[in-house]
Parts: sequence; C-alpha cells; structure tokens
Amino acid sequence: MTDADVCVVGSGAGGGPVAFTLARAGRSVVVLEKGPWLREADFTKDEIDVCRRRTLVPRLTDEPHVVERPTDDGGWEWFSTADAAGWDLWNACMVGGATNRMSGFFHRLKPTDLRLRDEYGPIAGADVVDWPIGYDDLEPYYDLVEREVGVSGRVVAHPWADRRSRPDFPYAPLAEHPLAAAIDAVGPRVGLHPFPIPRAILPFPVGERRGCEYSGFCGNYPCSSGAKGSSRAALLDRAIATGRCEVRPHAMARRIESDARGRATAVEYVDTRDGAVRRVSAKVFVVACQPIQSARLLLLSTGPRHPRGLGNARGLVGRHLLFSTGGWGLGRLPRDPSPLPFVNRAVQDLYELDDPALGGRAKGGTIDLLLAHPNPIAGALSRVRRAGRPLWGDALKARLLAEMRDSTWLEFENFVDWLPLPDTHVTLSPHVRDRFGLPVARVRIGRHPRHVETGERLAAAGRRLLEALGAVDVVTRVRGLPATNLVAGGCRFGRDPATSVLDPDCRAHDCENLYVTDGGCMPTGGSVPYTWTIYANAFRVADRLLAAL
Amino acid sequence: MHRMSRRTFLARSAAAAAALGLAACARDHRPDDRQRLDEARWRALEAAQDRLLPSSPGAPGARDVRATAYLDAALAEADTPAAVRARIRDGADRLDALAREHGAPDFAALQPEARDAVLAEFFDTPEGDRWFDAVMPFTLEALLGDPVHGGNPDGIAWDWLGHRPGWPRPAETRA
Ligand SMILES: Cc1cc2nc3c(=O)[nH]c(=O)nc-3n(C[C@H](O)[C@H](O)[C@H](O)COP(=O)(O)OP(=O)(O)OC[C@H]3O[C@@H](n4cnc5c(N)ncnc54)[C@H](O)[C@@H]3O)c2cc1C
Repeated sequence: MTDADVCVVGSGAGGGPVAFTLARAGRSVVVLEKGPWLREADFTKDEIDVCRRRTLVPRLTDEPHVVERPTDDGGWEWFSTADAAGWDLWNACMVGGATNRMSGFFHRLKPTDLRLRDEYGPIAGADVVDWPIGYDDLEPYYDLVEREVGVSGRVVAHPWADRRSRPDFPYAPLAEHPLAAAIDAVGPRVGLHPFPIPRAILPFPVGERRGCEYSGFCGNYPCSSGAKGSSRAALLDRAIATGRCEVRPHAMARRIESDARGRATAVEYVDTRDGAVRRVSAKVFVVACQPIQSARLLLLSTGPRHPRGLGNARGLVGRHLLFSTGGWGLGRLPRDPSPLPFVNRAVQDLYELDDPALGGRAKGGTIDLLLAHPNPIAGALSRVRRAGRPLWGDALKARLLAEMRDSTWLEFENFVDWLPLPDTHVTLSPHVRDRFGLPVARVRIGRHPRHVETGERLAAAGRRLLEALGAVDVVTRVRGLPATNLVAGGCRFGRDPATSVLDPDCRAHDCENLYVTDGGCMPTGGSVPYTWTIYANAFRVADRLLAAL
Repeated sequence: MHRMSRRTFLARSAAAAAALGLAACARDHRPDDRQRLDEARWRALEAAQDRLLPSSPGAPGARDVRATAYLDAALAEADTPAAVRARIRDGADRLDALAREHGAPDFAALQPEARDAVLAEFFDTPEGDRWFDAVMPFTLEALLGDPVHGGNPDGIAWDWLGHRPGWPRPAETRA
C-alpha cells in the first residue's frame, strides 16, 4: 500500500492539471508545495507587501540561487543572488505557484514552433531540435485549458491566427481601455494587424470563482477575486472538492527515493516551518517545481540505480534551460482618465522574418501591448535618475507630476525564442547551500546574438506603432537579457534516450514511474509567453499517465 | 506580463524593509544589528529626506509622509539586507562630516540651500551615489505606499499624483 496513487511535487501550472485530472478520475493524489496556502481573502493590492518584500518568495539570504554570467573576456563569473542586487530567480512559492502572480496573457505556440529545426534549419551556437509531438497533439488540450482554467478572448483574423478546433473562446473578452480601439485603427496604417490577447481571466463569475473586478494591478498580484486562472483557484480547489486530492503546504521535497530496480518509491520532504522530515509513498511521481527547482530536485535524488540523480543517466538533466527574451519599449500619451486596466492587444506580423542579415527566413516573435503597470512606488523609483545622475528635490517632484499624474504610458513587450544554448543550464552549486543544508541551484545563463537581432527588429515595429498612435518620448531597450519569470527546458522530451531526459509522454526514460510536467520538457519555448502551453501539456500528460496507471 | 513588474522582480532583492506582511505569512525576526536609528542619525536623515522630497503647498514631501519614522522602522525589518542598513547609517554620518567641513555643527544645522550643496557633493562620490539608491526606495515607499505602513497619511500623495489604489486595500483585510 502506498500513501497515494500519485504524488505531485509543485502546485503551479505544471502540477495543477495533473492533480485535477487524476483526482477527478478517481485516483488519490497528494500535492507537496513548498510555500504557504494563501487564499483570495489573504490577497490585497498592497505594493509594499506583494511586490517589495519577500512575502511570496524565500528570503535570498536563506535560499539564494547561484548565477553564472559570461564576462566580456569570454569567461564566466558567478555570484550568489544573496549578494547581487537585481538578481532573483524565485517567482512565487505558494500553493498555485507563479500562476497566482502571472498577468495571464495567454498565447498558443504555433505549429511551426514545434518543428523549428525542420522549418528554419540549424542556428550556429544553438542546439535547436524539434518537439517529439505536433500541434495536433496539443490542440485539444489548449482547448481544454480555455474551458477548465478559463480563457477569455475574441477570435479575429490575422496572418498568424491560431488553428482552433472551436470557432471562438468560451468566455467573452474583458472590457477594454479605449486605447485598444485606437491601436486597432492605427495598426494597419503601419502594416500591422493588432488582435485581442486572450487572457486567463474570467469576465464573470463561474462556480466558486468571482469574475474580474477591474481593480488593475494584475501582474505580480495574486488575484483577490479568483478571476485569474491560477492553478490554485481554477484547478486545485476543484481537485480538493473531489475528496481525493490533498495539498500539503510548507512541504519542500528534498529527495525522491528509488529502489534497487530504479523505480521511485517515496518523496522525502522538509516541513519548512519546523524542519521536520517526512515521507510520502506513491505509485507514480510527478515533478513540477518550475524547471530550475525541478532539475535541482532530480539531481539531488540519487539512488542505487541513479548515482547521478533521477532521469540523469546521460547527464542531461538541467541542460538547455530556456527563458524568454526580446526587450521592450514604451511611449507617453496624454493622460487618459479611463479606469479600465486592459488594453489586451498583440501583434504577430513579425512572427516570421525574411531578412538577408539573418540568413533569409527566420523566426521572429510576438509584441504584446499593455498599459504601464500602475505600481506607484516602482513608477516613481524608475524616475529618480536622469542621464544616470540622481534626480531629487523639486525637479523630481515636477517629473513625477508630468510623467505620472499627467501621462498615460503605453508599453510593448517583445517575446522572442530564447534559443536552447549549450551554456544555459542548471547544476548543483558546490559552494552554496540553503537554510536546509541543501546545495542550491546554480544557473548558467549564456547569450546569443540572435536574441538581440530579433528583438531589435520587433522593437522597431513596436516603436512605429507607438509613434503612429502619437506617443512621445518613445524608448526601446533590447539587451538580450532573460525574462526570468518564464522558465522552461532542462528536461527535454524526445524519442531518443541518448539526447533527451523524458519520453514523448514526459516520463523519464530511465525511471518508469517518474514524470515531469512543468515546462521542463520543452526543447524550444516559442516566441510567446508560454504558460498556456505548460498547462496544456500537463493536461495531456495527465491523460497519458492515467492510461498507464 | 508587465515589464515594470518583471523589473520589480529583478530589482527587489536589493530593496527591502518595513511593513506588516500578509496576515497569513509569518515573518521570522532574527536577532542581529537591527537597532533603531540614534538621535544624531535621525536628525541627519530627516534633514536629508526633507531635501530629497521637499514639502510644498499642495504637494506632500518627506515631512508630510513621516518618511524618517518610516525609514527607521524599515531599517529594523528582517527583509532589509544588512548591507543596506549599514549604507544608510554610514551615509548619515558622512553627511554630518561633510557639513562640519563647511563649518556647521552637523548637516541638519545647515540652511536648505547649503544642504542641497552638500548632498550634491555627496552624490558625486560613489558612496553617495549608493546611499541615494539605498534611501530613495524607503523614502518613496513612505510617500506612495499604503497608509497602513505608516507613510502617506490618508493617501495624500496618491491624491497629489492622481493615483487610484487597487483594491482590496490591506486595511480592509486587516480590519
Ligand atoms: C509576475 C509574473 C507575470 C507572469 N505573466 C505571465 C503571462 O502573462 N503569461 C504567461 O504565459 N506566463 C506568465 N508568467 C509565467 C507563469 O507564471 C509561469 O510560466 C508558470 O507559473 C510556470 O509554471 P510552473 O509549474 O513551471 O512553476 P510555478 O507556477 O512557479 O510552480 C512551481 C511550484 O513549485 C514549488 N516548488 C519548488 N520547489 C519545490 C520543492 N522542492 N518541493 C515542493 N514544492 C516546490 C514552488 O514553490 C511553486 O509554487 C508570469 C510570471 C510572473 C512571475
């Protein structure tokens, strides 16, 4: 007898769909989550607590990461995030994970995203490979996410519109800020086709979840109405209602034990409140801690048949970690008094580029348009320097008035593939341990010129659009830095055990009852924010896992 | 996605401080060097913050939002890195030292224009530049944070900037 049929480690986008599907199918599930269990009533739009303190993430002196970055002379430097201002690789440790904090801009990957190598050929310095599954394998699950997680939107024709099995979204689009219509009108004048971005936000109440209350402050803030499609509100609460799913908060998995045959047998976890060590046994184990922590857990999980860690027979765990990149821009418009927070427009006309400088046909990306985040402290802090020098006194106050009280800022964010790089990976730090005495994740983050080249082309289009709207003071920044709130890769799936950690069902090649269901399996990330894909793939794997139980 | 919020994410490890915390999130308080500001440093920091964010008719400044009391509380918070605490205190001492070079007993004894000159001189040094980065986050938190944290009484600075706070506000849940 095991404690549960399935033990899921991590409760975010990768964990929720598995717990939901299995519990509804009559199986018993235990979900281990490192963070606390907070609910709608705990959430406020308090910038200081939510965005500026370590309320939803571990304190860096207790639990840092080690980051390795390239130096200009071709070497690598490393630092602990406890010592380096500006670096933090935690996104949220709480029941529901980072899906509580996401903005919920949802895009599907394109069919070509799953076969980039085949479509566009190799890129020097990157290990681009195709997915072992195709868009048709994922499409039914994208559709399922629209209904179960709740995606609101409106289908309009544009050159890169998604192939869908249903004509339109199950939930009507959210009410829009007047700038949305202005963007629609201006787009074609600069050769672009803006379309409404689907959002993982309910426009009206459904079940226990309330509809969106339009209080703004969406990104970064766990949602107090339940409208946002967090794994917690949309899936775990319903899994628990079956009576077959138990969520254990404050439970940090530190090792998955395995037997002499190599099968996983139990998860050993630490209660983060008192340090007590406990175990859960199960028939099947699902790891979904977000790719950096998932790789770390697998590497820590050595056993008699797994001397280098679970899934790591070929030394591939942690390799080819992916982020997203592409840069951003913003421009200033006269203050628009509308209280509606959503512009919800994107442009994908440059999803594919044809550019001799990039060797002809090449992958481009997505431009999302949005109002600048309304956080006032962050907004003011971003204005305390001018030309790099401290700005203070009456001059600072005048700037705050002009730029915050009297202006509305429209931003754009570019999403460009973070190429799978041989030098972007996760290992265990030989030097730094966390407060539980475990080696922390050491994350090497390389760079590739294509990240910047592609981002610059998108930024030029974004700038054209902002200027056509009449925006002034337009600024764009493309530096090839990783967006650390989007993390995938590190446990590639594929058919060949020599080149992949997981099989096409996201089961470890070297451990038959171990699955990884966060974005870890993804060999490439698409040129979009990719949480919809993480959710969809986790639903797909849950069906495969259920069939195999 | 939000660029600002992502930057917030990347940048927040440096900042830190006061605040009460979500009711459900316990904070541990470890004993270390988190004593409160002494009299002299309080005086120096208060005088400096008054120039960083001066009060003017209809436009709140550091004094109106109790920025020094806020800073004092922030320095005692577990989230505030030790390096930030030390930097802020050392900067206060440095301002007094610079004022004495100008013949004043301490920084707070200077006239406003003279304080500005000393601050400008300080900001020209790497130490002063870093002090600015350490002090401004707390000063602006006092200005634009929710009043529940001790600054921005009755939301005066939100009114000044035409800012609409999101809801629920923390006071509502804590009440
Ligand atoms: C501010 C912000 C805005 C975002 N906006 C968007 C957006 O607009 N669109 C979009 O597509 N995506 C967005 N994202 C990204 C999205 O949140 C992530 O892609 C998604 O949450 C990843 O799911 P995951 O399961 O990999 O990880 P998570 O959701 O982070 O869940 C992992 C969970 O595992 C837990 N865990 C880690 N280690 C252990 C352990 N050892 N034992 C037990 N539990 C553990 C963690 O505490 C965490 O709760 C945003 C993210 C952030 C932070």
